[in-house]
Amino acid sequence: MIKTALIYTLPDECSIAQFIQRLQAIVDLQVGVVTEIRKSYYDSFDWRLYHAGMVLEFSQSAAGGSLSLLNLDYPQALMSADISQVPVFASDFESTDFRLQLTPILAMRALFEVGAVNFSVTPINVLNQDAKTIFRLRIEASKVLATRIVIQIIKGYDKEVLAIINKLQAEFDLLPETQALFVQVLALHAKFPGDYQPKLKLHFNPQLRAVVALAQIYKHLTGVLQRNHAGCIHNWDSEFVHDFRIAVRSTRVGLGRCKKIFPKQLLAEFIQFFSWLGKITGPVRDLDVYLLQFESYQALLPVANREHLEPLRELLQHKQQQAYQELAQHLQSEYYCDSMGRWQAFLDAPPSDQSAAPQAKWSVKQWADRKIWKTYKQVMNTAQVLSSDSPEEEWHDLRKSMKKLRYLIEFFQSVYPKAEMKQALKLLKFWLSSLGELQDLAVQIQTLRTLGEEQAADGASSASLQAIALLIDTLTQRQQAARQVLNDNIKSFSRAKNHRHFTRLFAPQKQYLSLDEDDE
Amino acid sequence: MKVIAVYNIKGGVGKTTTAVNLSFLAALQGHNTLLWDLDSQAASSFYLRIQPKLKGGSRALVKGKSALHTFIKGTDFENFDLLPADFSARNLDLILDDSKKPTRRLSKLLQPLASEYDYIFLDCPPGMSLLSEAILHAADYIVCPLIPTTLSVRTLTQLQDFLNEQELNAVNLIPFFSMVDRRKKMHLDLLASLREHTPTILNSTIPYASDIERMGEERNPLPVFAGKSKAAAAYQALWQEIALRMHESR
Ligand SMILES: Nc1ncnc2c1ncn2[C@@H]1O[C@H](COP(=O)(O)OP(=O)(O)OP(=O)(O)O)[C@@H](O)[C@H]1O
Ligand SMILES: [Mg+2]
Repeated sequence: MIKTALIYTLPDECSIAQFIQRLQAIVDLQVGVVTEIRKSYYDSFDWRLYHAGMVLEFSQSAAGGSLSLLNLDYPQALMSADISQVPVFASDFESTDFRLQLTPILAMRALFEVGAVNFSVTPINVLNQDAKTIFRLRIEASKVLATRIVIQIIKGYDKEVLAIINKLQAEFDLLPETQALFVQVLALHAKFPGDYQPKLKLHFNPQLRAVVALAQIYKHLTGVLQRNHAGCIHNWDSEFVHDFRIAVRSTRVGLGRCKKIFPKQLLAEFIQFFSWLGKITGPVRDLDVYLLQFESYQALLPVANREHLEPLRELLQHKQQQAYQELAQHLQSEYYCDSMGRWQAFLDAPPSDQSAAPQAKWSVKQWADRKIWKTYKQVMNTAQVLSSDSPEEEWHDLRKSMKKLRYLIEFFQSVYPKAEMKQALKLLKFWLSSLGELQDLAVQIQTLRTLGEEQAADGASSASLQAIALLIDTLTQRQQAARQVLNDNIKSFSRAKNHRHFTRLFAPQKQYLSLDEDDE
Repeated sequence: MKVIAVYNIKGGVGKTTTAVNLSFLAALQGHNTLLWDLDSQAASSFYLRIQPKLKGGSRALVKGKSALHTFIKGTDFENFDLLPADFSARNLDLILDDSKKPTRRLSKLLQPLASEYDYIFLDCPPGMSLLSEAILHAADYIVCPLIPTTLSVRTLTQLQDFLNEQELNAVNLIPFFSMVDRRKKMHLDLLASLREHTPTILNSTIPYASDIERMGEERNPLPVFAGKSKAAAAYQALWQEIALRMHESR
């Protein structure tokens, strides 16, 4: 049943005892026993519940625990359940209501306690002349927040209750609570909901010097790396490595275009560092992807074969654990700490001091035009020679250069017209996801073959080898279909309309074309 | 939503007592529960300390002018609401009498509540009237308290005949014995022979108990003030058996 509550805060000068005493003079009360309650809040690292307008509140007392999903904007419970501990993943919830509601929002992200506060709660029933409870009032006192008066109206008694509440408000100077308790508790912990923002949303003045803008971009990406560092080491969920990798790869792509403006030796060192980071996070990411998709793999097989994929899942889990252990060592190694320290020191130094080349004087707009245009031409060159019988590697090359293009466009979005950039990115995303699917399928099929051989050598049952073979067949069919779709659309990327769009956006003015560079 | 009418043609057999305690126990298990006090004597409303007067009166209600929702009151207990009786209308029967299709009227009124409540209990007045007909049409289950007398089986047969006559074969009749005095040999003998005659009678019985009589002074469901009593345990067992019977009948 839907429950709404009215929440007020008690002025500091009024003690709880005084409040109860003065309340008693107005209405009949039944005062219950004070209980100690710990309220804690849960969300994913990237605040998915908060962004969906929801709050997950866990109340624990000696009597047990109760979990409620609340609406962020008004104090209303969407659902509640008695549980002793909050599960880590949405799929682990025993309550079907919670599972169905939370899984689409949280997906693979883990829940964390984001803040907590202890309350001494005094429950009070307010009675009418029949000694019938017409509303419940809870005094929630804590050491760190203003005392809260929570009023729960009972159905059918609104009028009587509102009259009394008006009286109370006048008498006690009660103020309606303006901020959700969730927000207040987070503020106590100096946390701000929504503070994790992996997407680049930097806004540049087109006249800003490119070196300065680049330093800001790299700083943002480095911030993303640091926020995800612990999650990668502890494998809290798969998205830490995912976000970490994107930041690594965009940094790497950006660095590949900085040859004239960053000191040569340092740049070589950093390129090596970020390439290394890309390499050491690869195996973990691949295994994460397999495991995340495992159920959809199983669904591809006839029901009778599905259970026979379980040994494969165990093998993947085992490999995943090993891969994470290795990654954790790398991410805590001396090389990592040193290089990261040097990279940050480099970003903190004034960029103007670092190069005398004319490119170092370019504005963001000039620099972006040139780099994006050049990468775009690479993409076009690759795309134009592709045909339906091009080998897998050429498709892969197209994907790599398109990815570079995408990162660069994302870096410098803010110096171009918004709507047109959106269109360019949309086109790229479509192509990248189609190419990505093809590439993933190729890798997956190859890995399944290797793992199948490994399992065969380990004496796996014929049923489970058969299940793997069946899966390879199904994925191969998919691969062919995906390939067909790409074949049919090959020419659409390079068609005149798109070309005009990119030319209008990025083709640089003539005078800069003469300054050749040796970008990757 | 399951609609459970607590009904017997005879008066004073424990209908109200049963309706109040069973709906309390259903709500205690976490089911959203509504008790509709359909008796103008307003006994269930009294037990739950709720004033029986409906704004606008039951005349407007049955005519369909106002949604049932607006008359519902929360009891002192979680998940447990009451639709109070209205003694201002002397007889709901009269109102039903001049509405179209009177026997379908109640089930129609209950329809909008289907999503909100898991159980709706109807505390019925005794006797056989247009109202009781409407109630029997609206109910999925009829819980029927019987007092161990030789006549009680006759009451049950009458009720079953009536249901057949109205082609209400889907309605489940769930009889049980109430006010049983285990010290009286006559009661025990009767119970045994009546059970033989009517095997659908539940195994659980409610004893004759002074704790139950105290509900009037306490104005609360029995488990609230005598949670450890034998009588409270008997209602608990009764509810469990009824829930099982309902589950099996699906
Ligand atoms: N098991 C019991 N033991 C002792 N007294 C009981 C028991 N059940 C009911 N009573 C008492 O018997 C009286 C009638 O009970 P109740 O009001 O529940 O019956 P009813 O069938 O609803 O009556 P009516 O037909 O008047 O609506 C009440 O005073 C009640 O307290
Ligand atoms: Mg009665």
